[in-house]
Amino acid sequence: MASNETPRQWLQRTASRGARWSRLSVLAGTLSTLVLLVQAWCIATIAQRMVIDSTDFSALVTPLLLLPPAFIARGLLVRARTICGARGGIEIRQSVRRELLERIAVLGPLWARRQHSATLSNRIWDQVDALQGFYADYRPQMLLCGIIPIIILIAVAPLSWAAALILIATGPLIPINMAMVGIGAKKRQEDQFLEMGRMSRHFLDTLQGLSTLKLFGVSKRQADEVHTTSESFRRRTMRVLRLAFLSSAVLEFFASVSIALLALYLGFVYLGQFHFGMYDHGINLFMGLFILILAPEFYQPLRELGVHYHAKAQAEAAAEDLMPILNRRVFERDTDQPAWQPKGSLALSLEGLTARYAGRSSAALDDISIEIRAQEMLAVIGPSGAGKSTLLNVLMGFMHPEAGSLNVLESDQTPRALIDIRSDDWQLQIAWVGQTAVIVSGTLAENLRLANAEASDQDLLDALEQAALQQWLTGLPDGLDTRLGEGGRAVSGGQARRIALARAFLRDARLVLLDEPTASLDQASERLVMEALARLCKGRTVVLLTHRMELLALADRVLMLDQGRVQALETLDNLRAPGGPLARSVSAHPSETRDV
Amino acid sequence: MFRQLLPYVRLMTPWTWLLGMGIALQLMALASSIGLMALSGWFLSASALAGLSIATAHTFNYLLPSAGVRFFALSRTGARYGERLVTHDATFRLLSRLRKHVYESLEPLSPAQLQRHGESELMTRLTADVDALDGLYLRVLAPSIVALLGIVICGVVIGVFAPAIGLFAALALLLSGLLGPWLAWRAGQAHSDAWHQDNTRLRARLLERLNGLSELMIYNRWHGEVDSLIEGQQTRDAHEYQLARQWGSSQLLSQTLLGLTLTGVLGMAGWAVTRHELDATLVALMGLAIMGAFEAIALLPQAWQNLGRIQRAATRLDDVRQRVSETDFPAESEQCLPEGHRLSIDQLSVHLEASIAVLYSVSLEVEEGEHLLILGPSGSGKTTLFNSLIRFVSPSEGTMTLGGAPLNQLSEATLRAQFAVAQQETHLFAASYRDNLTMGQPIDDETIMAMLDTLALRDWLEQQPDGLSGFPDERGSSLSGGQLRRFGIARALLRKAPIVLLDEPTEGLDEATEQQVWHAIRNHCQGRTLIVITHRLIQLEDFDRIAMLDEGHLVEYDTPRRLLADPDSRLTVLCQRIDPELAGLMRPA
Repeated sequence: MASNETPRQWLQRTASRGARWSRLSVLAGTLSTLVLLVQAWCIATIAQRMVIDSTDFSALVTPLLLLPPAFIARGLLVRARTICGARGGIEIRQSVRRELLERIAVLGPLWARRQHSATLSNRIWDQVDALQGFYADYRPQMLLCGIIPIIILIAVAPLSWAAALILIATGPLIPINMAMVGIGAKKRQEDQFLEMGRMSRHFLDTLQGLSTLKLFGVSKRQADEVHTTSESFRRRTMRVLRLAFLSSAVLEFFASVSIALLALYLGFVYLGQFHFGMYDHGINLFMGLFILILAPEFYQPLRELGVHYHAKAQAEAAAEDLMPILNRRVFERDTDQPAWQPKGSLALSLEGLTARYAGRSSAALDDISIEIRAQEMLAVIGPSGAGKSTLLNVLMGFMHPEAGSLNVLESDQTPRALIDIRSDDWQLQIAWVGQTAVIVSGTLAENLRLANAEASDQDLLDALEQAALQQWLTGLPDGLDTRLGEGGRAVSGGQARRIALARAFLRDARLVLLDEPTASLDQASERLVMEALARLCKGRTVVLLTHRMELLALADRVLMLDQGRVQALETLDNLRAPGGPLARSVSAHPSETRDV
Repeated sequence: MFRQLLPYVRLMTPWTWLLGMGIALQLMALASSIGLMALSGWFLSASALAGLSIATAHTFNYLLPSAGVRFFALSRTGARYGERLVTHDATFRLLSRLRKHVYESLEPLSPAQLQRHGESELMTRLTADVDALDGLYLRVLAPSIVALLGIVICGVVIGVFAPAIGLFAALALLLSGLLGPWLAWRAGQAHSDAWHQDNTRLRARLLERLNGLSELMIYNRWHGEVDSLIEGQQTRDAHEYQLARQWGSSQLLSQTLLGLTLTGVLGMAGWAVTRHELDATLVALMGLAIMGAFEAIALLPQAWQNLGRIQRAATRLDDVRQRVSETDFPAESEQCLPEGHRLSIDQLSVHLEASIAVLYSVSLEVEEGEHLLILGPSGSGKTTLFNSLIRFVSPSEGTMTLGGAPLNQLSEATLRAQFAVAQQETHLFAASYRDNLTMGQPIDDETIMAMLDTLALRDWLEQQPDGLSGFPDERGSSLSGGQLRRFGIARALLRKAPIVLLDEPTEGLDEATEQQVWHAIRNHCQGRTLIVITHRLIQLEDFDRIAMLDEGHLVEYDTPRRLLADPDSRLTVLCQRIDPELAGLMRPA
């Protein structure tokens, strides 16, 4: 994967994923031109026999009978072309989308959060769909632009070299024509595409800001603004289009002029005015009409290419958005580690651990060396930016330390570096309750089984009981099958937190990671969550991020972090002893910054 | 069936001449195209016949036909160019009007009505729908009318020489132009609808799953999610594939009918020639005229496919416009004018959905110039209270008055003039930073700069190469989350309204900046009523009163001094629960 790949190169490289269909589509297009030769033969033959040979009707029967099957064959080939093109586009998009989705897992949640989920889903969904026109229509058509004119030239040249010369001279094969039509149009078409995009973005922007406009009392006035802006966009776009259409008019001009030239040349040959451009056999009406009927098809592929041009511009814009995701280089773990299934409880040993966010100069975790003992509850405190979340991200395997080591110790086993454990195996040992619990739209059972797909209904009920949710459950109309999330039953913050807790119970993991599990809950929920936490943490190794006194009191030891460094690692009592870093001062000052 | 399109057709009336000219030019291009091929065909046949003997070859008048051929070649080019310019210009004019029209019908709706549950992408969809509707003229009406007239022209050209053949040609072309696309359009609708349903569902699902990526990864469920998303996409794409098949089949049908038409015409012409009822040189003309007319017919299937999309877009726009505004404002002349700015909320209850209340009988009095802090955990109804005041949501019970006048008796202009609001989300418009801050008021740059300075945005502004005249980036914004929030506060404070409402103004700020922002807010709100909602315990003593909300109930409402003096008050408990020394120590020295 070259890092300096252009969008066009990427589009080209990706095309190989649907190459089979694209080839079939081009083949159908090529064959359809060959069938056109038959059609032209039929029509020209009929005219020749009627006008020149003055035959009777029976001589027309063969070409007349041949015409419908020729048209049907052409129709079948056009159909095949459409279907193959669509199929190729669909396959490429499915493959690209799968790669993107799998890539997300490699890049990790930290990266995904930086991208904003709406932007990211727009890329994975809409931008990938924007590739369809390019692969289904534009690319096969581009290939046909190189094939069809040559077939027609080969058919015309043996009849009259002068006619072939007219086609060549005015034709799309001439690089100057291509340059005039292609490059000129390209820049302008892209400009137009950009203008159109800006125009609809401006409208979207206005709609999205409607409530702000209302609040500032200018929403009524804005209607005229919408019109004025749209009109000025129109004027600018039309300036671009006047030039853009000129280049397609050039193509149109050459096509028309060459048909006229051909007709005049052939007519004057018939009338005996011209004597050049033919071979010994001369030119009869059949040959002339045959050439005339084929002439428009000589230019047709390029004209059609112009119709699909916006698909190309769209695809290039999409590729520009997708490439950074696909080509971004990240640390990837060795995937062929031996399986790891711990039996006893886990302890962790961090030595000189340093971690840094991309593009930051200061380390988020700076030379951390601590032991996290088996089955202890370690609380981590510190101001925001101290490195608490970073520590959690490192423990979850979402972030890779740039220096130092993190070893996992199992009671009687040799220590093992986290880096040598497959991330699937490691994550299987983690239960996590964060500040915001994810509720996916689906049934309650589906939401719980996220943590353990094999759990029986009884397991789910037990977990709900452990998480103090059984009372809520009895109030649900369909029990475990009640739908939650979008379009289903609304779930309060406290309930969501307890569903996350129930998941943690179902997981039965060795390591429990908690991030402010009681923040911004109402009083009743908070008490229930605290009780459930006490049950969950028993017999497991727990790392808890908090600044709540009640939670600190549950912890065996407290790790104080500041600016990525360890300030203290002690029991709470020692920290609060006189002279200790958390020693009580005389009066509480209420105007501090804390969450409710 | 096409009723939903009527309002949009009516929008076109001011430009009838322009639209007509576009169609006329298109028709001219088509006629030139047919003329070029048909005349060339006749010219070849006639000159070949004349060339058989030297005598006729010399008397053959080639001047007129050759001039005609040259004329058609040039008029085809010219008309095509002119047609493109005119139809595009007309389309853009229509689009401007369409946008205004859609905006005006959406504007009266309250944001709560527009952004209902699960409609986070409504605006994006609306924009796409408007863009689709602009194709009504360019992609549907104009090509259809032109194709129809093209068929007539073709029939007339042939009919001049042989009326029966002309009639047959016109009818047969009409059939081949309409039948295939119409069948595809009818059959395609089910797949099209299914595709759209699947697409919307899958996209929403993807967004939801991306939001829960950490948890899904921890629970090893991401790969399963990827599989099920791809599976869903395959189901969706199966509909797309069916549509492509139908589209292909309709092309096959059109081609078959064209082949039969051509065979019929040539057969009839041949028969007539052998019976000496028709000049033989016209056979090629007829064949080529039909092939020329088919160029226009070939555009029809696409037009019909677009028609389906446009109809769906029109239906969706109608659906949104059908949402009658829930909040009506009295006219300027009928409103009650407030006396003073004392806010009184009495027994306010708000239900967002039928059964779930977000506020229960909340009563509050806010004197003019008073500073009130509303505290509560997230989801306690704070923002809904704000939205009720600015009439973005309608209360189900209770009354709110301002200076003695009920809020719903104020005209919209009067109501808006009372409040300066900074919502949680700050929307940056694609306009200069200056325009984004003044929002149409005449405010000089010094005032703006001073405001940015007090909100610690001076450094940010100095990094902008174009200063206040700079634009936010087209993709995303060039302000960080905390900066954006302060930008929103600056915008609200610059508005000289007697009541200032700030929703979580210091979320995501570091402590030093937070202090500075509070200081600025207090300074700017001296003498103005200030209501701040937050879920953080901040600067309690700076406020005259504190209201605590929990699960939609007002649980405490008093001065901070009295609340803190009461050892059992929720506020006291909260303040003690979070160890102050701990918090104090945790701040870097």
